[in-house]
Amino acid sequence: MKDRYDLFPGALELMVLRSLELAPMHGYALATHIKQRSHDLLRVEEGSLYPALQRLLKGSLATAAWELSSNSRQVRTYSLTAKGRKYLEKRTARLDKMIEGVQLVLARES
Amino acid sequence: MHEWWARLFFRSRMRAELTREMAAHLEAKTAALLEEGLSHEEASRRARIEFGNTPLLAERSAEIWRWPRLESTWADLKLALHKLRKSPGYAVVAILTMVIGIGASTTIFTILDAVMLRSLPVQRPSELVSFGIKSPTQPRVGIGIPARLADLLRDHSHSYSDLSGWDGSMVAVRDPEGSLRSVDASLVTGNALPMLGVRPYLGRLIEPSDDIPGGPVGGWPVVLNYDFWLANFHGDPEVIGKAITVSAQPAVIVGVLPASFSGIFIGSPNKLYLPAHFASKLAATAEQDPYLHPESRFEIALGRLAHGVSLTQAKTELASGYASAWRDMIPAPMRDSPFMRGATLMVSPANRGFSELAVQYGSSLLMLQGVVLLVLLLCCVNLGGLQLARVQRHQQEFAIRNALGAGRTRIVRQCLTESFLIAAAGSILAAALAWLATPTLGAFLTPAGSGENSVVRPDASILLLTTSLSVVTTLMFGLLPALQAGGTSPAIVLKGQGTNQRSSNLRRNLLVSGQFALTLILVFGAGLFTQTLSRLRNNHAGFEPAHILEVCAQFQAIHKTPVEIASIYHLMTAKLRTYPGVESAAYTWVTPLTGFAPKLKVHSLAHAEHEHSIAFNEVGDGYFSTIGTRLLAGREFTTDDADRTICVLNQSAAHLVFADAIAIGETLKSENPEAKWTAVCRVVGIVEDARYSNLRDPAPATVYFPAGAPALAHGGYDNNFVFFIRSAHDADSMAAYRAALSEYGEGTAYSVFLPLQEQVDQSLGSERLISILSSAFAGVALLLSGIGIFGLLALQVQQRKREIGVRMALGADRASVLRMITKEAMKMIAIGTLVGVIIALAGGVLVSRFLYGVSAANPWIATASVAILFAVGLAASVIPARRAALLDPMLSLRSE
Repeated sequence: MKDRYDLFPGALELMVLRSLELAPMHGYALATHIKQRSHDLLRVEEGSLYPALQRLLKGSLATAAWELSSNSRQVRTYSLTAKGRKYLEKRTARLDKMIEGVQLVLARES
Repeated sequence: MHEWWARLFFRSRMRAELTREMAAHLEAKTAALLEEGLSHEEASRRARIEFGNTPLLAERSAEIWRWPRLESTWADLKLALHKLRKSPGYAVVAILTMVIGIGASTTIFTILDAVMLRSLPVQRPSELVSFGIKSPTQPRVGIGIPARLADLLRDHSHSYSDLSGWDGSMVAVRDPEGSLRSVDASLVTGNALPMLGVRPYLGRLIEPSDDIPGGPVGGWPVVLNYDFWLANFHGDPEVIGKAITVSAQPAVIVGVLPASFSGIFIGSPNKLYLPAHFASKLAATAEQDPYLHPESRFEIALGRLAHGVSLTQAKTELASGYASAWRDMIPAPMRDSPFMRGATLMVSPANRGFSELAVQYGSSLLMLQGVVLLVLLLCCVNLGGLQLARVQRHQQEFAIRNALGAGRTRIVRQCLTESFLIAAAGSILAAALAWLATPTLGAFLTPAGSGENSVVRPDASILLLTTSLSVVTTLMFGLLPALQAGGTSPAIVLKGQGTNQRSSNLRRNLLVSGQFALTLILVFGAGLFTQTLSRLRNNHAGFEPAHILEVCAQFQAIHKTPVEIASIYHLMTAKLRTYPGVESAAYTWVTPLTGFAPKLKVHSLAHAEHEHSIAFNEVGDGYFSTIGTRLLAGREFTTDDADRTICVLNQSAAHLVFADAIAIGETLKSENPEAKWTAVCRVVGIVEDARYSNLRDPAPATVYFPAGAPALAHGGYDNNFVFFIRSAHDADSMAAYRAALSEYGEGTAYSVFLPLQEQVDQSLGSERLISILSSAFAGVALLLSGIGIFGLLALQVQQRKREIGVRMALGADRASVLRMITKEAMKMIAIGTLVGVIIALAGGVLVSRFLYGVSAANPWIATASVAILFAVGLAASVIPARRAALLDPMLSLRSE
């Protein structure tokens, strides 16, 4: 099972954070959410998702708590912290600039 | 903090949580697949395949939380521990080597620190200053200043926030058995202890309201030193408020000082503290009362610099504001003495208090510190050699680890970890060793008869020192082998015999030679110091210290005239001689070998223009026969001789003053600026030369006067003479003295009985310390060098098995193999000793001041040291050489 597109380091974390900005979610919901939002262009592997989540916890960008899901199962729900929100803003701004730059360079001169 | 804690201890819980979370995820995923219409079985299979290896994933997620550096260090530690456990012999030798190296360095440093470096355990010690008079005629600064000057400074100087006065005296208190005992007391101004900021352990300190003429109502307040309280009051907290008698004065114990504070005089802890005005009560006559004659009162002044005032500012103020004032406060006779010519008033830092020990032992301790650093270096070289051998033996292992991608830094780190483990284990044991050894060695510095066990206390700085030494030594002995291990090239080693063997063998041969060089220096030094000690010890020509017991009478408490006290001395001596077992008894003003030898200017009547400065003493009748100084001509003093109209000269003095003429019957004259010492006396006897102030200096020209009332009146020695009692058994002397004292000196205290031999030994304290320690270190060095060369040869024999096998197969006999190996050893030893001898001879200058009667380049001791080294080296190389000679050539060739 390969990633359809190679992600640069940190991209997955940013996507997770953005998703959490909408609502607190558990692991499975996050994976589905990202898949749907990217119109199936991106598929999040569990093998990458869980280490990424741990990194967010370690950096205090997100917190986790055990909750009951809609179908009354015990799930571990992640939510964004203030620090995570700030980090997300800063990083996405930087990312936008970078992508813009890359696109400018890659664009065929017309 | 909480999270950190959690990370450390709840890792397993975290992993369980992750597993649970993933299981939930998997379930949700399966459910979704079911909804897509897959069969139950198929959905679960696909979900699992997509999800991947759950435990591995949990592991990888948990890894995020780790400290990779720390955990690899932990792994290094575990591996090092495992490897050391696999070779316990090596581990034990290595750790013991470190214990010796670090322990010895730490012990000596702790003593050095306590004697010379440590600040007083008081508040802001750096603000403390002391005052002194520096005279060009004396090498040392006199620390007493006129009390009136201290008062002037306290009242008018802006440099000091406070200034206190300290004086010392012997006082009589009852010991637990009820006998009066003479102990050292500090007489302090009321602000002295509060100014230091010392907190009392019990009760209170001496306070300003205590220091008044006649003492406060209810008796003189006494503060006890902690050790004195333990020894005499068994640590009883109820002691506060207890009434006692101090030198026949009513007193009350008001406080106990903490154990950490033993006064400002390092090495001579005062037992009691009393208000300064108590001195009036100790004075035998009104004339001697310092408070009735403030112009002649001196004290040690301790000041505290005011906030924001630097020492330089204080110095400037003292020089500008008090330059002439202080001279006027010096008593008249002293003002005109040569001492005062060009003398200046000084203020200097007193953060370390006053350390007589530093003056006496400072240079010896520094030299010993140098010696132990050599020992530490030797230990490191030795361990470095052993480590290098281990690395070489495990070359294959390192090569494989390197080939598997361990990386150079990783291997170096692993090796250093092993070294550090050894150093750390060694340093912990070394700290324990130093803790135990410090008081024992400190006892060498204890003044004779002080009754103290040891003046040096170890403190927590020991741990700091051993810890830092363990890091330093790890790098010293571990780095070279570690780099060697890290640099092991897998290709070369795994291919077959390493080609870098020759260079590393050379390096190791150099290490062994280096060990022998260091050892030679230590053995040679030990030889010199031991010779010095034995020369000095047998150097008491002029008296026979064995079987003499010395005890200082404390008659200052008897308020009688000098003439009356002189008669007490006569009567007591006569009585002492009547007791069974007592062979002879006498008294003297100055005890030999205490470092004290007062001098006097004398001339003969015939040649008044030839003044000689010679030593003098006042001795009782029968002194010379008691102490064993031979009478060469004329007679000794008798009980009828009581004043300075007659004298006895020693040979040197007779020769100096009267040249070759017969001195007996001639007249000697002594005129002194201090009129009280003037004497005109007829020489009645000549005695042999006897060492006086110490054993190092040759016997000075000495004049002896009869000890009597004049000496008691003017001696400035608190009316006290010292009794010398000679008997076969010390117990007889003690019993006799106690009996005689109770008869003639009722109400006076006894002080410590001290065998004169002990006084002799004590006067050689630093020589004994240096000799014993340097011999011990030399022995250790020999042992280490022996181990070093043994280890190297054993490894070489192992490595050269094939070569030896070939040689033997080609006809070399066992004797020649034995010779070959020992020759190798001898070569290394020869190089080492040669270098050692050269360094020892060149460095002789550094130790020559510690030597006596032996040259720093003594050829006999040098030869003996070389012989000892070769003997040790030969003994250590016999076992590996024999092992080589007994190799079976067939076996060793087949094993290739």
